[in-house]
Amino acid sequence: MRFLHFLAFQLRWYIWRKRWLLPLPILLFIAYRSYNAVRALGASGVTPPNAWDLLFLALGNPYNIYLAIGLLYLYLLCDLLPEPDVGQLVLMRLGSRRDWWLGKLATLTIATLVYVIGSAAVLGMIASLAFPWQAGYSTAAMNMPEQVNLPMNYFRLIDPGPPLLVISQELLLLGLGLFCFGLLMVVFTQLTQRYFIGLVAGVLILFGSFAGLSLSGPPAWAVTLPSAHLTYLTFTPVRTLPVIGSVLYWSAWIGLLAGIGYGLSRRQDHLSTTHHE
Amino acid sequence: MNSSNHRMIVETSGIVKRFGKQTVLNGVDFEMPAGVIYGISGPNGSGKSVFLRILTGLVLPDVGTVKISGENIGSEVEFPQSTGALIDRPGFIHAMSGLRNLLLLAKISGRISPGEVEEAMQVVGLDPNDHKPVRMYSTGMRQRLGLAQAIMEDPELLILDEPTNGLDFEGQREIYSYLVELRNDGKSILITSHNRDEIKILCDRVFTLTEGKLTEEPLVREFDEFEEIRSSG
Repeated sequence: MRFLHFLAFQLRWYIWRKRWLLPLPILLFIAYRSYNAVRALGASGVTPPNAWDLLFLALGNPYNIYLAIGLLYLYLLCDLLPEPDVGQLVLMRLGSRRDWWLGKLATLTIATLVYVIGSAAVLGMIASLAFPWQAGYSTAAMNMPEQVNLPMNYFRLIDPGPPLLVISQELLLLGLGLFCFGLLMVVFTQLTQRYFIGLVAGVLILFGSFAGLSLSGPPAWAVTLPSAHLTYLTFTPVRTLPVIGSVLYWSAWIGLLAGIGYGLSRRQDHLSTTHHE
Repeated sequence: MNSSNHRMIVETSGIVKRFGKQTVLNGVDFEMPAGVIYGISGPNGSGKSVFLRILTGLVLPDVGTVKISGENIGSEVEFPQSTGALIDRPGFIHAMSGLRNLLLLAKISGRISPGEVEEAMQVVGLDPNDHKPVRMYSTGMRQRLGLAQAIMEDPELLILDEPTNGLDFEGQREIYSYLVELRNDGKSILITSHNRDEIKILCDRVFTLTEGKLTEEPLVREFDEFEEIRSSG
């Protein structure tokens, strides 16, 4: 029961606050740009686009993923640690460093789910207002997948399954990847006791992944980079890595970082902070 | 330190704490029995708050052991549950009222009822029905709220860092009287302050923390206007 009250406090403190309104204008801007691109697509050909096209355009654009959605996610959660003064009063009453760390992981998990599903919901709502939903791909996507940010030769080389499956896989990998970046940020903050350093570490990894997209070829070792796994829509001619491989990739990193974080939390000193909401 | 016939509430042995190359505490031995008020003074940055944080389990010593109410902190329990603390600035959710803040903390500990929370607020001179958010509280009101959260679970040991910070003279007298009352009820209270006069007013024994070492000071009282408070109860 204590743990659930602690988790409720964490969610109240870290999610129920003004900064979580920031994604709204940014997602609306992304949706607006994608809407214009889909409309242009419809105007140029004989084929009517559908709502999935807007989602493919929005979530298949690396600038949207790395420089807007990824960066904003790190900012929203950058102060998950160090524990603020009020959080220290809570920790003393919780009475367990293990439960405290599990609470932090649960908070990060729920925040990531809210962020990823919420972002998809906002984009989906805008898509609903402008275009019809269909069970399958639009003819525009089938004929020229690269125009809606699907990989070239997409339908010729693989059977991607219905659009809902593609978007679900995209969100699954994006969620896992963002969670991992968030966890890395938390661990760096634990090591340094300064949230700003954690944020910088998270941003550097995110930007490093973004730079990894520009590797020509790409070389075989590029599959070890986060950029090869962060999204299902890979921006390369076609995704050759199985989704389960990417899930395992993120799971391994998450397991490692969660273990390091747990080890650090056992010896963590909670000093006074200047953080107040 | 002299041993006491009373049951020991706080026992520390050989506490060493370093931050980087700086040694903040360098072999601190300290004992405190039940039913006393002890004070620690020392200049800002002398390590008073770090020592108090070690007693609460928030900071772990590099070397040494800490026992609170007979339990080893770090091995038997991670945070002593019989302790109430007010360290540094009291932190609260500024958008919530004082009562809601305390109810939230009380829910997590699960040991007291909402009625007891309200009672604690009244004891420190706050109105539980005051719905204004903590962000609109004065420094003194925040300090009182911090005290209320420290005492509300009726702890055996109270750890108070600069407890009368931001309070006017009357407010200080009220708090002093209340602390003496608690002591007379058998509670142990450990106070730190950079103001030596403040702790001399109240405390049964006074210590100074300098260069990482804790030494006892002779207690020479100069503020006789507080004699009435000291001897009350």
